[in-house]
Amino acid sequence: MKNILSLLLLAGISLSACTEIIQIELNDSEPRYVMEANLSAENQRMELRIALSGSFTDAGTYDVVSNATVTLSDDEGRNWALLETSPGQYTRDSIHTQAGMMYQVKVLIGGESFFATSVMPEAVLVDSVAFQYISNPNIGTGWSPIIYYQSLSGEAPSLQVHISGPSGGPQRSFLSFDNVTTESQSRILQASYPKGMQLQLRIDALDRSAYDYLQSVAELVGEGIGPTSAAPTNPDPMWTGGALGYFSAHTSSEISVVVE
Amino acid sequence: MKQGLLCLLLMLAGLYAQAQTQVTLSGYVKDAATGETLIGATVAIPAIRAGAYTNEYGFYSLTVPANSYRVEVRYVGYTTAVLSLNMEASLTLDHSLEPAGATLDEVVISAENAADQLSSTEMGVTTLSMDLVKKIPVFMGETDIMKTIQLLPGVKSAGEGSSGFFVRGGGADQNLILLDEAPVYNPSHLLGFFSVFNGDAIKSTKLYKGNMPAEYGGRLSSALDIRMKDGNSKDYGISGGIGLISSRLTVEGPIVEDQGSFMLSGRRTYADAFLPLLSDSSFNGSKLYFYDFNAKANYRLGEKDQLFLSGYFGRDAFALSDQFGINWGNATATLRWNHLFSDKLFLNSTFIYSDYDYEVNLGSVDASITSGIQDWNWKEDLSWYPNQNNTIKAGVNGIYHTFIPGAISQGEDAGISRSSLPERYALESAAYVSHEVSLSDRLKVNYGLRGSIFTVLGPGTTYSYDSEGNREDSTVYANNEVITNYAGLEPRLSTSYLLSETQSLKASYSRNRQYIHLLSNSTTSTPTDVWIPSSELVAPEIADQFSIGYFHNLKGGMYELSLEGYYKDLQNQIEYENGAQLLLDETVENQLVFGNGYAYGAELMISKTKGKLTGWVAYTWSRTIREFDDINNGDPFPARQDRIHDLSVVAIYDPNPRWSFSGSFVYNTGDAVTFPSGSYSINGSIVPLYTERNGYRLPDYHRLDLSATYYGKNPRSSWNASLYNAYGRKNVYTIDFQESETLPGSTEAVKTYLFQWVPSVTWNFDF
Repeated sequence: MKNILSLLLLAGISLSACTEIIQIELNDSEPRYVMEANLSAENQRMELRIALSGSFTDAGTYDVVSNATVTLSDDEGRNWALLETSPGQYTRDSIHTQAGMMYQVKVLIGGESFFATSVMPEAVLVDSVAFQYISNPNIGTGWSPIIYYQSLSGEAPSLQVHISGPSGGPQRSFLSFDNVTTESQSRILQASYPKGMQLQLRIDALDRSAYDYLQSVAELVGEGIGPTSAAPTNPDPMWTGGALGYFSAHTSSEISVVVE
Repeated sequence: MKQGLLCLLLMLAGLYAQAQTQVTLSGYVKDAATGETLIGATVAIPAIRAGAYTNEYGFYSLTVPANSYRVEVRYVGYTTAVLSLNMEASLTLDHSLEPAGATLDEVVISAENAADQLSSTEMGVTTLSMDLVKKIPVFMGETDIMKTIQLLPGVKSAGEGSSGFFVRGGGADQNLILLDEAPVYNPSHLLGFFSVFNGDAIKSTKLYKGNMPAEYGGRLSSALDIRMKDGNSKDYGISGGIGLISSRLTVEGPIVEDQGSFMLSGRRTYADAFLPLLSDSSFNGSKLYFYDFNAKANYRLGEKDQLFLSGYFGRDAFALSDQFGINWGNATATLRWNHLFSDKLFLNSTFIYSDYDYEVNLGSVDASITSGIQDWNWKEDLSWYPNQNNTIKAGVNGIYHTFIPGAISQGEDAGISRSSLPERYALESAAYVSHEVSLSDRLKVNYGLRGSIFTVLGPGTTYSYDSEGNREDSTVYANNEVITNYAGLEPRLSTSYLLSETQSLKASYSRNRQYIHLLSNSTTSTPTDVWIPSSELVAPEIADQFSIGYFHNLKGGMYELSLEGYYKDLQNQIEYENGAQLLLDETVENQLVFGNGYAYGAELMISKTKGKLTGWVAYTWSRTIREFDDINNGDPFPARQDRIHDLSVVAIYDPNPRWSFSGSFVYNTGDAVTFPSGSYSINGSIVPLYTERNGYRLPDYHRLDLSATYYGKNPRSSWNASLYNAYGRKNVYTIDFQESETLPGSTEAVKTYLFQWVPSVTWNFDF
């Protein structure tokens, strides 16, 4: 829509379609627990971050939650207790990970308990990365990546691609667009890079529920490919007990490429 | 129940309770200058308080006791014709009325006679004359019927500059928009800034705000019945206009004088002509235009038969260089045959083709997506005028729908997995009967019943889902095999009671069923909205509306006052699950959630219909609430269009024949919107936290538009200058939240507004 409006503007139809900062009085809701849990098959590591939601006006600073009891378990009865390695950050290494296994994480805070489950997906093996030239007023002019891979499950995976520029520059993360992802390739339509740039790509195959959650988040914060919703709502949390957030069991593979 | 039956028998008995020899006066009422038939003209015999209206084809039939009478033929804006007729036997008489503009030193804006409106059983109905529409300030020089109806009480705009509208709390897809009886599925050009209806090609417009007669059906909230001009059957003529961004041309004339005529009308915008002036090369190859074309021909085959063939074709093209483009448009064709079995029995047979489609080109991935809806439609409408107190209408209708939910085509190496969704088919059938009866000089009743059946047909595959939304099972259906059926009755009732010569009370009830639904992911209507049929998972939408009204004419009909109240109950309304994707998703039905709603309100309208200064003040107080188990924790929430206060003021001042000035002012409560009441962090992104659906309000909307028209010495040409948003109010189009640049770490609200002070100049001609 922004494209359309800007074109209308430039075409001389509208004399003054503009933006302006205005004051809106927003209510402050009660704080809610926010839990981000990641189980990496590559590192055999489980990480959980627990924080509280805050006000919208002063977004960006959130209280962390300490002294929670966190336990990970799998379908076959294994259990791992997570330790609070820094305030609000709970981790555990040497987790036994296996494709197709369902993992459950249980969090106790005071008298409240929260649960989430995630299934470890099959690994995706990256073969190569090619680039396609695009020119788009929103994205810019340059080369966008096409990732070729082998999906061991034979189905189109749910992918999250993290791309870093040279010398460890800021990382950007993209969720694959369902309609242009097959079992052998995925296009990253949301970004373009100049020729010759060195890129580091990490491709995560996600549990579908976690992918859906992160997709909803991306749409909410305006990073999704689809239009933003007319009536936005909170993404369906993967946690029982009223906490926000997700639990993602995922596999990863990395590749370093030069744009050409 | 027994009382109801008794009442019905009494009414039917009235059909035959005739003591004297009855004779029938019938024929057509036309414009003397152009031969255009006049819809809703009155043929009256004041001495016995008898009268009839012309139907949509200009035909009337009035059966009265044999005698000599003084007959009046009248139509607003025309000189009343008075005839003395010796009616010892039935007579066929066509009347030609002279336009009053040349003879009366005043302007009349209402399309209907004030006294006739008072006694009519119709309520929640507005008929707009094109003369009025053309006097109201316009946006960018284009007369627009869709913008004018948004100035009426109970009708709300779907957004700044939008052709979409909400009626009495209904959704934008709950309006049945008909052009020469053909449904128009997307009435918008240029994303809604213009409507598809070219004012030069339109003869009449009638809006029913829910209290529809039984012949209308298929949508919950309103019927907008737009009729194209037949074309001048007396003489050839060319008319048109040249504006800043668009021009239009209409040619009309007789095929054989007084036997048949044709009309051709076209428009084209040329905003894209300015694109090469832009320095930004990324806009090279961009497109931004629409065109449309209306054509109609009619021919009288004899005293009793007349054929009409009409059509509309329009396309929009929008492209952003070669990376992204949409083109979309409607096409309709209507073939009608009027046949008079007798001077009391009129049949109209109609065959309609209607198509809406769009194509989205994704140049960046070498692919295109197409979607649309196509109808083949057959109707039979019979009108029987047995005597002066009774009119009976009956008919049948069958529509074969083809839904094209989405297909994607791709170039080589596009790497796109899904190719197309299967087309879906449905037959929408209906039959109706209605009876309007005058039970006394004061009391009129119109009751009717519409029965509708919706049959989803194969070929197709249906799926069942488990509680978590995963597909469980599928069933495959063969060609034309019945997949599912829905059927229901839609009773309609309206009454009017004349309290005095100048006051009346009215009440009505109607039930409407809607079997096709529009899925839209945005707040405004966009070309990529998708129509879907009712199915095993999607039940028909149902609305019941109750309304009452008080009507009062003052100072000999110079002022008209109406006060209407309504309550509308809505069932099976549709919303989306979180993160629903509408495009190319075969499981889209599984992403829908269903709930109920209700709307109520009061509408006050005071209009001045005669004199140099005319216009109206319309105020609506209303609420529109929705209740969904899966939304807002099951608590009721206001619908987006829940604008509590809505005010329109329209003034037209014609000081002399050379000049006409007009102004319109609108004010409404801001839309109900969902804003965050908190935030949290996910993977480093700040995510808004929502607590309740539509719990906030956009700032109030208000706007003043002005217009001046100069007719000059040559009455065949005129200049119009309009100023949209005269005091430059920065009305909110959208509000987004972003991180503050001045106070990093804090969030601020940014509003986008579209138009401030949009001037336009148009030269119109009529040779």
